[in-house]
Amino acid sequence: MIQTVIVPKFDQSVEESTIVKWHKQEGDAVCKGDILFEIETEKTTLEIESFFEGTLLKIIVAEDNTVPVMTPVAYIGDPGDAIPEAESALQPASPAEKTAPSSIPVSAPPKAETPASGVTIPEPVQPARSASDASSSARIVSPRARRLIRESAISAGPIPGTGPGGRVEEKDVQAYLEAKGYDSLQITPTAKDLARENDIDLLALDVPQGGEGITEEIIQQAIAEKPVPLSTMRQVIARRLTESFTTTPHFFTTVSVDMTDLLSWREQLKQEGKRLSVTDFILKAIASALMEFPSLNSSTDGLTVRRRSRVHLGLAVSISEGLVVPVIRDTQNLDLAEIHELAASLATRARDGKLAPAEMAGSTFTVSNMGMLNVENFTAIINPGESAILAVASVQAVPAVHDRKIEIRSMMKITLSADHRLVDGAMAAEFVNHIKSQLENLETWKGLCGC
Amino acid sequence: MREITYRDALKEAMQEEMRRDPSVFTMGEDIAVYGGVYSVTKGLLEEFGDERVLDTPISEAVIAGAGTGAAAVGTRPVIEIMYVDFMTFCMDQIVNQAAKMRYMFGGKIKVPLVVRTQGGAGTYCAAQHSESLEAWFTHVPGLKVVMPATPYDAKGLLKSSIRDDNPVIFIEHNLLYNQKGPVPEEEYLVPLGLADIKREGEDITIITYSSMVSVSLAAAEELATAGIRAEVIDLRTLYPLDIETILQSVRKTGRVVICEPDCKTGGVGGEIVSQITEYAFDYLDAPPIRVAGRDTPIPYSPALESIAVPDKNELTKAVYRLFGRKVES
Repeated sequence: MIQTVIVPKFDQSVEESTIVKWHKQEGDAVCKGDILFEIETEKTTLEIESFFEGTLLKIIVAEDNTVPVMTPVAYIGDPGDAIPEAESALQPASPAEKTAPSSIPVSAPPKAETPASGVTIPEPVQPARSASDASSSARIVSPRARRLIRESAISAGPIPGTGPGGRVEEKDVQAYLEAKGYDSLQITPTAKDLARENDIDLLALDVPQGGEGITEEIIQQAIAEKPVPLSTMRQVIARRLTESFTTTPHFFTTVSVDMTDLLSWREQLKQEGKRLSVTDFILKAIASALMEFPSLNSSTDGLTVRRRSRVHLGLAVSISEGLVVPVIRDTQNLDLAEIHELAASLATRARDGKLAPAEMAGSTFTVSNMGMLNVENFTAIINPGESAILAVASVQAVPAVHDRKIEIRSMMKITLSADHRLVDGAMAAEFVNHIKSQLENLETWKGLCGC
Repeated sequence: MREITYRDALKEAMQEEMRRDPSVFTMGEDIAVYGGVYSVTKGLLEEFGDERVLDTPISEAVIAGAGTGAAAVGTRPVIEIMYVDFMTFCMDQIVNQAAKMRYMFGGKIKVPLVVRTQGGAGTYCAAQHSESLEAWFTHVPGLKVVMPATPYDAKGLLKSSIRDDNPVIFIEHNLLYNQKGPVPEEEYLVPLGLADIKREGEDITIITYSSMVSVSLAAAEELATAGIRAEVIDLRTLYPLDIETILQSVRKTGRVVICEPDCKTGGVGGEIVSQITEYAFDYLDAPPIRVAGRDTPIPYSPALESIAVPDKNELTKAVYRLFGRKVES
């Protein structure tokens, strides 16, 4: 029996996914649980397993196409099964195969505007635009002008249009080329061909003074420097952090924590076979501090405040593609050993790209730990939907005052970034000092560990 | 060179072909004794006799049917349908029989039929005697459609149409019969499917045919005084379309306007614009436009009739707008 494979909707917030790779090809045998394909969403990359057994009869959505969730992407069945006609019409128009325009909104090419019915006689010219409109990105370049632009390997951007409605016409391009001294450019035919093929603007090149003019090498350099799109993940990071930093009034509070005693006790535990990381202590200290300072475990839109009764700690983890924030749920209920296990497993899976979207959602406070990166101090940007983030710097051996004497101590700076709409300076100071005193007070930890 | 009228040029073509080939004959309503309503066939009866110049009953269906049959069995009939409007009576004979016969018999017979007819607005003849129906026939595979604009082309094209082994719809224009133009005394042919550049220019291509050729040439003259050099292409044959000449011109000028006497919707120009955007899109500096007849029956009132089809003023205004020049409305 023929079965339809769809893009799963695994999270309420995910509307569409990009198929990045098919692990099976048409004609391959498929068992239940086999990995069929990989999708990339705004948040992560996921491998999708088969629910069905049989032969992969047809792939409807090829690699590199973005489709809404729940879209059929393939059929599994027995060889010879008929592929449903209506469904196969859902195939998106990919560059490789020219098919009819698909009904999938995100992949379908934009429809040209159709003229009104024959009742009115449309004016053959564009509506008049102001001069400023003409220089905006919405201006029109005639196909003929485009052709000259393409052949000359230049960019349309700076060319003023003088045609009806500010349309850039061939004569405008010719005038521009003349004004820029295009004819006197020194360029080899090979370099020009290369520039044309790669959309390099010959008039915007960084040509060294007194050189041999525009060489192939200069074009190659320009090609290498062409802007490329950010990955989906970087675009999400860019959008979320810009939104946070431009709409949330951040302020920053730093304290130095004396980690000397805790580190030597940690060393002692290690000898006894109990492995704990500095992060584990910090996470535990934050979780208990947050239970006492609920404003820092909240979020605001400037009009209302949402207080969370549970602590879901986000742990910023650097991965090769960017940054992910796996979440340790209900940290307030976990002991050090449990935190250690969870944090380590989440970090490992984050680096392997194996986190499920649900594991990266719902944090109420985030920790960014650069301890292993040898930094004295830094500030972090609040994760949208939260009211604060703690930046943890490296432990450094520095001269410090201890028991009224100057000693070499292991000091660690932590900096709280807080949303000033919800948190004031005094509260931030109390909060960071609460964490500081916990980390510095060995007796607390011994009690917690039952040592 | 001597100058003769469009009417006389057509008559000469008939005479020369009937003298040259005894299988050529003509029939139609009032064409023999009376000499035709526009006098194109006047004198043919005297020279060729009543077996080769026949008056028919007032039945266009019979004329077209008999002509098709006669062509299929080896003669070369030139039938006359008095007004193109009356072609509605001939549609089965022409569309279903004449156009398809050669194809359906696998090429074993041919249909060398010429349907001479005339049409167009401008003679205050009202809606049933003024239409421009050429687009109907360009839509039918198997038919050639010819619409000459000058005496020279009328003669040369009619002779080629008579010698062609396929049915040809040859549409004359009633406003042109009295127009004079140079026609050589010696014999010549104008091949079907070849457009003619009536005026060369660099800035815009005006594509036109039949009665709109003189309108377009007058417009080009005026445009020249405003610094716009228009090229005027007379299609002469609407099917097969000389797309090469059109594309060559559009590649040069980058702007194109079709000036056509028929209704804009579903008219001849739509197909031409479509082919231009399909094959020369990258050469266009402006959207191709049509200056065409209104989508209306031709009015009887002379005042209304004159605005139902394009004139020089409308054409020049459209061109000015394409160049972004200010036009008084």
